[in-house]
Amino acid sequence: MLKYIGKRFLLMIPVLLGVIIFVFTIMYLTPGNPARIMLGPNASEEAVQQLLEEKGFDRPYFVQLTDYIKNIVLRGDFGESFQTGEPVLKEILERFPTTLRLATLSVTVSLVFGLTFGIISATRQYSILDKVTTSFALLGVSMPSFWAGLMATILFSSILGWLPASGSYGWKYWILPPLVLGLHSAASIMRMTRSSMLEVIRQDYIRTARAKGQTESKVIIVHALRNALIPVVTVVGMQFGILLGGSILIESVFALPGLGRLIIGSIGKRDRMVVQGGVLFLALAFSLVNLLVDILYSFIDPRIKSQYQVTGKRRKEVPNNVDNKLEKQESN
Amino acid sequence: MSITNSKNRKATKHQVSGTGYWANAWFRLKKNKGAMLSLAVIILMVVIAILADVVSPYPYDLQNADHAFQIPSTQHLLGTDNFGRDILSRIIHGSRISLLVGFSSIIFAIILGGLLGALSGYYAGKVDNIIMRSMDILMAIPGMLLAITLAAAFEPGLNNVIIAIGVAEVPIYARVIRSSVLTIKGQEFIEAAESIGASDTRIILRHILPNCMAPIIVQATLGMAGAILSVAALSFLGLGIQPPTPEWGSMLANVRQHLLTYPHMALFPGLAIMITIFALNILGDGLRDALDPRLKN
Repeated sequence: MLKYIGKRFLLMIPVLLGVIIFVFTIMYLTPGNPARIMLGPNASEEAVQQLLEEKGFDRPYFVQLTDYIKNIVLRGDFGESFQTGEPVLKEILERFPTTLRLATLSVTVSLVFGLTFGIISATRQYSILDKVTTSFALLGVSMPSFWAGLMATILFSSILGWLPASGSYGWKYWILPPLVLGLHSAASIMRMTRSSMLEVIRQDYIRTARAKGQTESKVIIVHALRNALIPVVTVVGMQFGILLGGSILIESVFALPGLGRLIIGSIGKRDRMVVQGGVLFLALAFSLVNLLVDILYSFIDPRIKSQYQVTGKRRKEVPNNVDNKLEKQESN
Repeated sequence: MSITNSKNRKATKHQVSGTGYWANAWFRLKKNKGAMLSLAVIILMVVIAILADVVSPYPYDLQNADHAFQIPSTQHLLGTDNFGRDILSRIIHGSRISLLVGFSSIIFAIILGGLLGALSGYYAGKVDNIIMRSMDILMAIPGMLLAITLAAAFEPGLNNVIIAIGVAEVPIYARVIRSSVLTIKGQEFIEAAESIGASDTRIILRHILPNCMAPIIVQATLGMAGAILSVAALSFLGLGIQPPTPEWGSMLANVRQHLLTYPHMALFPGLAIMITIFALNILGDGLRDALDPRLKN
């Protein structure tokens, strides 16, 4: 198991290196002289030129790139903000907890609603409840999250007056944003849970479980759900990426001081270093979540784990055959 | 065995009504009421977008300070915005941008992703490795974030928005097409084409690509919904289509300071986005069922 995690971790490194090169190159092409941005429009040409040389922005692209990568890998240094002169990493770490909280709460919301309604509509296929939830899910998938945020603000802050419209000063401010963002991806998770459950429920082992007199709730939760979860976990991983993208919009709608707003604000100020640092940080978070999802896979689906253990040297002789037999039986 | 027999019987029954694969697919799609309704909605929207100048009641940029912030009335069916511009006319003109960006960015992604996917699947080995690892890099950045990064790097404008959204979609098509090519490559008719001396380009373009159209069409319909969402999101953040050009997302960004006092300004552009995406999603699901009946549960 550790070997599997280690291998997946090592495979992540070249991808992340590629992401750094890609994002750096894109941002390098951005118009605007960094020294001019730092000093403002009134600075003299000489001062701009001097700062450009001092900070090393006049060096060739390739030198700057290797320097940037070296600083990140060796010292975790993402450079300095053009605007504030602060280390980019410090600014990111100040803002990241907000984004992380929004993402975690939203994932929780989407899992609770998505799984519950997915199971309900699968076990009562073609009932009114099923039809209502599936239509709502399709509406939810089609609704832009930022618009849903605006509508929720109108309803709950303006008309009903229950919740504050924007900002982050207490728990009341943390109800609408995760709900809006989470319900959006709950729709996708619900659709996936439903179709995956429907497939599993028709399998022979579910009939066996019922035949041996197992209670219906145990059949659904223990026998069906565990098998149906495998494709759902993939969707949850993908949804996390969409959530990170969506959090940029939702932070902007509800004025939450998160990483997304930092990136958008820095784009407006042409602060290239902060933008590329923030994007890299979010990409790193996304890759880590996907790694976690892959590891989670092997816990939910023991077949994956055993498949990997087969290649381990110590277990090669006897269990190999056992596993093969098991696999053959399953495929039959 | 009995299952395959009944499948074959069903297939022959369908074939009576049509002459081939596409006719059969169309026959199956026609039976799906939701998909047909969605198709009608989309065709209607395309017609409205083309005839925008004719059908919109006012010019989209006509300002009238006396009529600002009006709620829906017989004069202005969906009300007016902060400059007194007719919201209905702006939504009608905005559909041009949304449909254009949605369509063009998907075409861009299909051409680039298709080319990369086909090369990757057909040549395998080193080419495959290089192309698919670069796609992994693009996939490591969440789509919306990638589009934002690309849009931020270039000057805002229609073409750059199309490219930004298109590039973010490229890896999806590269993967879909690669896996289709891999399945088709091993079949006998490809071997036959090779044996009579057809060139690689000819085999890819004339024999392989036409045979993986079905997943591309399904993905493109759903992808167009995603692209329309993305352009609205980018414009909402101020990185996409710039005012005064009417665009659904930028219309929403524009109303934010008046949100609580004049909610109607935010309601209708969002509804327009939602209806379009809803229709594309239902059509995409219907197309998937029609083009690949095995997947239907």
